[in-house]
Amino acid sequence: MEIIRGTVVWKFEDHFNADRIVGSKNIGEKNIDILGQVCMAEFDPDFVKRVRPGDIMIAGRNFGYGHPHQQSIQSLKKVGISCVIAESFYPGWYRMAFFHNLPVMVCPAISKLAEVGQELEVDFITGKIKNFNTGKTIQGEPIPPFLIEVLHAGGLVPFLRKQDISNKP
Amino acid sequence: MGQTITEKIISKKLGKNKYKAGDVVFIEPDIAMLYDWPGFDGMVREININPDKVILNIDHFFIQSNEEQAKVLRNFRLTQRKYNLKYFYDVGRSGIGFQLLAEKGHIRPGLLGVHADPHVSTYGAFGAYMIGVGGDIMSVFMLGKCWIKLPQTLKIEVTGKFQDGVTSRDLFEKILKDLGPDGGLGMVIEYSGPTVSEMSMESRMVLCNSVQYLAAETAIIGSDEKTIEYLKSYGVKNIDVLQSDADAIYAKTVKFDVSKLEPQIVTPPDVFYVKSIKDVEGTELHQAMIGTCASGRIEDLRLAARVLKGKKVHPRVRMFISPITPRIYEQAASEGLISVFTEAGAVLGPASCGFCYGGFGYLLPGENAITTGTLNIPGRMGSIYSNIYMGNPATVAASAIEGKITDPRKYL
Repeated sequence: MEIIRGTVVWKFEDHFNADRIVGSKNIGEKNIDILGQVCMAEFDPDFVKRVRPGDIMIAGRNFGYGHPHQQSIQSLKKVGISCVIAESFYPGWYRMAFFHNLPVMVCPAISKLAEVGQELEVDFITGKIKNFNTGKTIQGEPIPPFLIEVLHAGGLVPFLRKQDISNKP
Repeated sequence: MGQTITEKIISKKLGKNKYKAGDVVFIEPDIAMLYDWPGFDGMVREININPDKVILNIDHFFIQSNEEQAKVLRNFRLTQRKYNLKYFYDVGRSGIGFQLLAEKGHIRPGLLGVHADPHVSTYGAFGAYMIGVGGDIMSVFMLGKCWIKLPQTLKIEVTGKFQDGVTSRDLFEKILKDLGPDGGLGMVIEYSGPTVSEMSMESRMVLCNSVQYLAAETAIIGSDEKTIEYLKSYGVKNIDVLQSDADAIYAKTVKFDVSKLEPQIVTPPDVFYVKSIKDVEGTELHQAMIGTCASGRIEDLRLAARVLKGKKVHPRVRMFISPITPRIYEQAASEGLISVFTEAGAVLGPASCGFCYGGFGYLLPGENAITTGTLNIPGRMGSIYSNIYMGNPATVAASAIEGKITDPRKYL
């Protein structure tokens, strides 16, 4: 899982409030199926029909701004988004993505060097992003080793379950 | 090489010369705090750490009004009994958490603390490193540790004297307006300068309350005589003076002068749409509220009372005032502030977050409110077609009198 390959299905603007992925009326929704069905509906009612498992999203600065609600991440996971790459992330949303086992990576040049429809290969360990359409390789920031471990475990809760609590501080 | 306050606090955990900004480390906080909210009862179900490091308080569902809320409170009580938690502040013995825990003596300079909610940055005012980690708070309850990304520090130096009717809240909104919604991205904001030294602890807490809207990790202010005096009054002993070294290294330093600062108003639809009051003066209002973790402290109530004394709330406006804790309520009563409010026609509410998140005071489509709240996104306090404006307590009080957004300076 350190290297994934997928197509860019969406490009977000700066300071995108991630609640809009599911719409403000769904930020308390607990049903994962519903969260999958409403994904990006505000922007494209046909999004859920055309998104394919493994697709990648890219974004500008400060992605996930606002009060972080987990529904946006659950929705992206449900439709099969494999990774979000942004110029920068709102810290609360970044943290929550790893909690829910959604890989996210910082790449300050991503908006300039990738477009919707292009195919990317993303290496979480080295931070290298290869754009097959342009032939260019972009350097992003590697996902920190600790968070790679969290992803290996399948998210924060499975990660915690794997730890030896007899050795607790 | 010199260190910032943040570097000092975290280095104490990591060891000498281990602090490298940008690193992700798994670290042991001194305290883990949580309030009542649906789902949060599940996060605190499993506690494997010293239960004295866990602090729970009820503030969102202070008066439970449906089955879901009642069950959240019950689950908190069950957790308290199961783990024999010493620090659990239940209904009637609580208050808004982001003031209460200072009054209860849990906050001190040098402390590293975590909460699910980033508004815990409020306690950075005491020289503590306090961060909101969302669901990752489970990691602390279960393992005693959580991951943090070691931040760089953004220094904000403040000079000048506030005009009467302009507060540290207006300064914060101005900072947000000037630096933008990612102006503090991933950093800790350290406030300093003569204006901050002059500020009361209450004003410092307000200044630190919402730095998450700059995408910052948290805020911090060096502790001084004022910090010590305030905490002593709540029985805290052996309080350290903790300041950044003169040769500490900052990612950036930004300067603000408050001498000419005007009251600022946050306008719909989001927290970073900040305007100067003259740009929105006259906007018709239906509701006004003073309270929440961003206000409702004694100096906020004194300021509001100066404006409201002998005046009446406009007939169209419903006004709610909620002192931040029962203790502050009592203090306000003993100073005669509560009768100023009731005589003006305001409703006094319990010390609860309810007025801020829409628990009480529903707004209908087309209605406008002005509040000292923390968030104004559509639907926060009722209909998504209502509008929430936010300002300082004097602005809210003056606006309540006139039934429209009003510059408070003419009432002072």
